[in-house]
Amino acid sequence: MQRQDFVARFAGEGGQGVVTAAEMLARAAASVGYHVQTFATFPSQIMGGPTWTQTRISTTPVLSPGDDLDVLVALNREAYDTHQEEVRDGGVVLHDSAFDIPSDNRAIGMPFDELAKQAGEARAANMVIIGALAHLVNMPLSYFEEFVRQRFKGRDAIIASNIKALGLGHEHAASSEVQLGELGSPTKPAYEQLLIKGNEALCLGAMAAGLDFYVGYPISPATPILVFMERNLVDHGKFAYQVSSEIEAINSVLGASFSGKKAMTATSGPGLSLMSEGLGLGWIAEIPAVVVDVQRGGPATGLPTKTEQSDLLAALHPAHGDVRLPIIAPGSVEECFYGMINAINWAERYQGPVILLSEHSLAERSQNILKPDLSKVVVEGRKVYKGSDGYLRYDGFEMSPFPVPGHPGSYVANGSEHDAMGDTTHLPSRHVQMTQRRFSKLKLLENGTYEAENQSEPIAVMTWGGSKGPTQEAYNALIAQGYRIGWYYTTQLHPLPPKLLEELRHKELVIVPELNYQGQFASILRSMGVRAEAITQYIGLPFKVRELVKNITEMANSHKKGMVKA
Amino acid sequence: MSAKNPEYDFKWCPGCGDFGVRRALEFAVADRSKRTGLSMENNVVVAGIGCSGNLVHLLEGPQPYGFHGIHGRSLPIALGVKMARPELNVIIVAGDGDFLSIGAEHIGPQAARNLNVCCVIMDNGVYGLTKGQSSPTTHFGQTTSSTPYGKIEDAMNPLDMYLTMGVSFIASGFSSQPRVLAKLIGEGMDHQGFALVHVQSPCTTSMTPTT
Repeated sequence: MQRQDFVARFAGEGGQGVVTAAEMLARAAASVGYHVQTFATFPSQIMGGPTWTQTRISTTPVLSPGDDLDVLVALNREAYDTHQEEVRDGGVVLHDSAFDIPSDNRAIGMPFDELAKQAGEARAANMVIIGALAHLVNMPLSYFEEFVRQRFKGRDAIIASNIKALGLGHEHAASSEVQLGELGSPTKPAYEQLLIKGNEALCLGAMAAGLDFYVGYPISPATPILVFMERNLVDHGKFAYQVSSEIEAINSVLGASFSGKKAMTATSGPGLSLMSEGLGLGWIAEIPAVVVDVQRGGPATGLPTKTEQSDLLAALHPAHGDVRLPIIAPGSVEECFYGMINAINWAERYQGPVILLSEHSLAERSQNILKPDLSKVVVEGRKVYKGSDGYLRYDGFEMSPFPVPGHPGSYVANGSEHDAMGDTTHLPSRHVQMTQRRFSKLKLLENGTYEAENQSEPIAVMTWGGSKGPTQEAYNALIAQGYRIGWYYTTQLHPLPPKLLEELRHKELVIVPELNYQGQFASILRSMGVRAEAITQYIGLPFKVRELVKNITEMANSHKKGMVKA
Repeated sequence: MSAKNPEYDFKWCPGCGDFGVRRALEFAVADRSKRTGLSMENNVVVAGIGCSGNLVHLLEGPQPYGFHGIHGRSLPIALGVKMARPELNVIIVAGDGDFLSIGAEHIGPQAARNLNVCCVIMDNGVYGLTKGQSSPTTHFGQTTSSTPYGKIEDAMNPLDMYLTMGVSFIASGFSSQPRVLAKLIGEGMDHQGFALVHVQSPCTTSMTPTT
C-alpha cells in the first residue's frame, strides 16, 4: 500500500545546513505538486547550537508538521540522542557515519560529506541526504533533478555535481535495502501555488493591501519582515526604514498615518511592550496603524526563538486607560496573507490601531498556498475629509472622515482627552462622549467570518492562531473515531463575530487549546459569558496532534455530559 | 480660554516665556507662507507634553495641522510625518523636560539622519506643568519640589550636546524677543536638515534660573 504522508526531521548544529536541507526537500516536493509544511526551531545564536527543522510532505493538505518521524536525519551525536525517541516504529535514522551511535536497527550510517566530495561539490551534502530520502519513499529522482536545474540555472557545473550527489545518496541508501513504502504520487494542482513562509505571506498581504509606509526595529522572530520590506517596499511614494527603537517605530507609524499614508510596523513581545503608550495614543487620537506581533516565549527577553501564544492579553489591552484593540490572528500561512489585508483594512475602517498576532512557528513555517488572486483582494481606502476649514474632527459618537495635511480641515490629533476640534479638555461630558465614540467604532469591525462544524453539539473545540493546524487535525481524528464534537474558528479574535459569540454562549463546554500558561483566550471567552476551558502548553513548541486528541477527549469526558460517540 | 475655541481652557501663567515663543512661531510660519505661497495647512506642528506642548492649541490666525502626542515622542512622530510627506513643513515644539530628558534618546538618530524638520525647544529649566520638579537643565544645587535638598546632578548643556551629536543647524534665542526669535525659527525651517532652535523661555511661577 502506498503511503500518503512522509515526515522527515533534520537535526544538527546551527550552520550545518539543517534548515537548508529541509527547505530544499520542501521546495522540491512542492514543485511537483505535493502539499508540504515545515517547522523550524533553533537557539538564539548566530552559529552553532542544537537546531532542527521538520518537513512533512503529503498527497493531501498538511495541517501540522507531524507528530512522529518517518526519518530522522541526524548530523551529530547530540541530534541522535535528542530526537531518536520521536522516530516512529518502523522509521529510519539516517546519520552521518562520521560519528558512532549506539546499536540501533533503524539506523543507516552514510558518509554525507565524503559522498558530496565524490560528487565534486563539498557543499552538496544536502543533496546526498535528499537522494537517500528519495530512495526510502521511492520518489523518482527526476523530481529533485529538475528542482536542482531550476535552482542553479545557468551554473552547469554546480547542477552536474548536485545531481551526482543526489544519485550517490540514493545508491548508498538503496544498498542498505531499507524501504519505508512508496509515497503516493502527487496530484499537480490545476492552480498555481506558492511555497512561502508565514512572515513572507504577511509582507505580501500588506503590499496587496496598499501599504505605503513600513518602519521596524530588528527583533526575533519579526526581523524577516523588516528585511523584506527594506528590499521590496520601494516604489514611488513608498517608504521602508529601520528606526532606532520600537518606540520610534510606533510613533513614526502614527506620524505617517496622520499624514495620510497606510502605515505599519512589526515586532515581537518586547517591542509590543515598548509600544504600549504609542498604541494608546493611536487609539485616543484615532489614527489607523497596524502592529504585527510575531510572538515568542516568555516575558522580557524570554525565549526569542521559540513559539508561544502568550501575548494575547497584552495585545488586547496593551495600554493604560480604557483601550481594547482589535486583534487578528492568522492560523496558517495562507491566513497570514489574507489576515494582513484584513488588518490594514480594519485599521483604515475604524481609524485606530490593529494588532496582528502571529507567532514564531507560523512565521518560520513554509507552507504551500494557492497563489492569491489579487483581482479578488478587497482593499479599503481611508474615508478622507474633503470639506473646508473649521472641521470638527472628533464630533459625535461615530467614525468621521479623516483630514489630510496639505488640504483644508486642519485640527490637532491629540493624545490628551479632547473636544471635537482636537483641543485638550477635562470636561466630564467630553470624556464620556469620546470614550463612547472610541468604543462604538469597533462595531464597524463586527462583520467578521468564522468556521463552524457540527454546530448542534453541546461541546466544541475552538483554538486560535498558529495552533489551528494541529487542533484541526486532532478534531478530524476525533470525528473519524466517531466522537461528537463541534468546531469553531476565526482569525478575528476581537471583536469576535457577534453570531459566533452567540453560538459559543450556548455551548456546555468550549475547549480552547492554546500555547500559554494562563489559558488567555479561554479567560477572555469566559469574561464574555462562554463556558470555556483551556488546554495549555508552554514548552516553546507547537502542540502534537496525539496529545491534543488525548487531552480534548479527557476534558470532554470529565464534563458532566461527556463527549459521547455517535 | 482660547479665542478660537471657548471650550479649550488651558492657560499659561502671566509672564510665561512661552507667550513670546508662540508669537515668534506665528510670525515665522506666516512669513514662510508668504515667501513660499504655501497655505497654512501645509504646516504640521508636532508638540511634546507640558506647558510648551500646549502651544499647538494656542496658535492664533489660520491653523496649521497639529499633533499633540505623548511625552518625549515628538521627534519620532515628526519622523513619520516627514518621511511620509516630505513636502510638508514640520515643526516640533517641546520643552526641556520632554525633549532633553524622556525624549533625549530620539535626538541622536534624527541628527544622524539629518531629518529635515525644525525644533523649537522651550527651556525653562523646570517641569512647570507638574509644578516645579528639576529638569536636565536645572542647575546643580537648585532646590525644587523634587530636589528639596538641592539637585545632585550637573545641569546639562544642551547646545554642547547638539553639537557633539552632529545637529546641522543649532540656534539659541530668548523668548522676550519674538521678532529676533522668529528670524531664527525661519532660518531653521529653511535649513535643509535637522534644525534646533533652543529658546530660553523662563517659568515665572517656578522662577528657576536656567542660564
